[in-house]
Amino acid sequence: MKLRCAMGSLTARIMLIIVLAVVVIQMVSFGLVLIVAAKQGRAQMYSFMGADIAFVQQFLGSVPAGERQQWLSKLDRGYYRLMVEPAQPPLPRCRDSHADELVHAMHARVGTAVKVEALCQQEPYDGPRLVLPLDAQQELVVVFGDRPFAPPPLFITFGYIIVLCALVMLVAWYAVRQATRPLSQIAAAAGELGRDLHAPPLDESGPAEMGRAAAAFNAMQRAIQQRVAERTQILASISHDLKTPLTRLRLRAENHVPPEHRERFAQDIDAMAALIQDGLDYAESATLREPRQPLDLRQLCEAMAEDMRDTGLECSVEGGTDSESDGPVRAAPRALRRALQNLLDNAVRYGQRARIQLREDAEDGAVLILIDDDGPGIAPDQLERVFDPFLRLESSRNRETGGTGLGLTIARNLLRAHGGDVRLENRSSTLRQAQGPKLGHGGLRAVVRLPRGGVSS
Amino acid sequence: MDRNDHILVVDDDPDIRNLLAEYLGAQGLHAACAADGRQMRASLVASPVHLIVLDLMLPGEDGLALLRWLRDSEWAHIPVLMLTARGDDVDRIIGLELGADDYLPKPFVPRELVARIRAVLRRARALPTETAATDEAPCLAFGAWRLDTVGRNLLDAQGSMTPLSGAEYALLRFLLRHPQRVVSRDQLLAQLAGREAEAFDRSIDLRVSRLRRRLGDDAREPAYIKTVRNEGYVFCMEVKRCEHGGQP
Repeated sequence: MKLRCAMGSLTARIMLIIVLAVVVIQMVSFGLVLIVAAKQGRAQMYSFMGADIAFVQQFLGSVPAGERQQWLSKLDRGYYRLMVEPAQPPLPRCRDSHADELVHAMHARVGTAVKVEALCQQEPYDGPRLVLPLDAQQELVVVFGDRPFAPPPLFITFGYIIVLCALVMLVAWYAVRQATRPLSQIAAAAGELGRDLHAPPLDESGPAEMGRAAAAFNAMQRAIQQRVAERTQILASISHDLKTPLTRLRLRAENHVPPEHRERFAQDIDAMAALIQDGLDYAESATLREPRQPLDLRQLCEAMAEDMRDTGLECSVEGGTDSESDGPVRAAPRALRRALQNLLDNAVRYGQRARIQLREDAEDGAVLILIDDDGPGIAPDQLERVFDPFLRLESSRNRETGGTGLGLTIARNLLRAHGGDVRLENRSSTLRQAQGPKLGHGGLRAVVRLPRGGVSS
Repeated sequence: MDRNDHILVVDDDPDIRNLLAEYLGAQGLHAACAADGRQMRASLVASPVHLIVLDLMLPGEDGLALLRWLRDSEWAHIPVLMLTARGDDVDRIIGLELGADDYLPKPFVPRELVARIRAVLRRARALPTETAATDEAPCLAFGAWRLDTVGRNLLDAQGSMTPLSGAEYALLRFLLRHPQRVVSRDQLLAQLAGREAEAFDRSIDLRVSRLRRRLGDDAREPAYIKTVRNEGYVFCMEVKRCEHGGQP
């Protein structure tokens, strides 16, 4: 998985292409050079050997047969072994390319008059041999070793390839990193744009193509900013212009509606006011509109829980005060409070009570805020859908409970604007499983993830 | 207090103006109306006014300009409650900086407006006009802390934020309004109970000890809130206005 991931990166792919190309080119040219050089070298050597052997044959032929053995050791120069043997009946010709080459070289050097045979089927086999007749009784046998200029052994070849690969990879890695760095920056900027629409624009200097890409990206960011600003402005204007008529409506309801209908009027007006406010909040929730500052999360949770208790709702903060999850986070205070309030409201609305726990993610140090309720939970396939705007699960939830259907959406948007997120899960409580396999078993849990935002604990 | 309290409603929307006057009348307050700055000045000259409900968005001279003018005039002592259709903190900060006594965004619930009017009037009566300097300011400094009255948060010297619950804020706000003076438990309870209709089931002492903990105050050697046996509490620090949101 990790390897596939690594191979998926542009850096790895370009590196692979460069390494393959360099190794193939290297191997082909290396091989060709080796073949050509070996051929030339062998031709030269065989020519020398041919002359040398022809001389030995002539010399020995001129020496009486009895003295030939003595001369052998003096003529031996260590390149190959010379032997004088009794003449044998002709043996089958040899098809050893090395011996053939040598025979050809001798013929080329000293003329085809010289009689020379290549042998390679003697027992035991010790490499190809040349047999040259000296006279009717004796013949000269030349034993030579391995073929000169043979390809290098396999392990040297592999070693060479590995070292080559390593060197090429090192250079390619550096070069490709340099070349793709602007691309990584664009990718990072695109990721940042998803969280913060007002992230600083990209540097448009650098390689021409990357500069163009950065400029296009910046233009896109400006266009998105403009569109979002327009939509937010429209929503804000609608919301604003509805506030005056709503104020009038409220006053009219108080002044002129008979007391028995007044409460219903007030409820409808409240619902409209809430929808207008939530709509505006939703439009504005994609970006943080206030500066982030260090904030004590535990104190915030305790203050909010106290406020909930003061209005007669059940809400508590669990866990000690000295856990690792403490310490400040950098957050936009109003936005964070709003996001958590929406989640707490949901918990008490559908799950009677809210229990807050603070934890720290051991991996990256982000703070986890768990908000548990004692409600029936949500069907697993709905856990993500409830974050869609205006979606309410009327099937499993009471219709009288109200809300605009934007609370979770706003909460998620605000938390994502912080670089965090929120998701829902059904708690499977072992305590309750004994009572029967009902949906939801242990209530719903909202898991808020909030990066500390550059503040160490 | 009621029948004698004259409220001046300044709003450019005739319906809101008249409906509000009618509603305030039904609630036992005497209300007059003005559509703009000219009419407001005329009303001030014509009859005594105890509180002005001032809309921020007015044609010509807007609410902030009128507030600024009012604070430099002979009617500087008249408390002002700002109304605005914008939910922006900026308006609220500017309004409070200029000396508005409270602030309510539209669309307000009429009953809440009356409750706020009564609270402002009560406060204006209880306090001599000279101490109004710290009455409504967007930021109050005391000891090592600053209180952001707009966001309702405590800020320490490093600018790190300690959020407060509604009750804690109300308690601290009341103590800051009466520094170096003994306030009784009954006074505090009245403040908190008046803030919200729900009953306060826990005692004032518990609230005070929670607030002390938030302030990092030691209950045995308190630097901020001292207990005066059989009488109540006294806030011992000097309270100053400060720049809103300004990091030291």
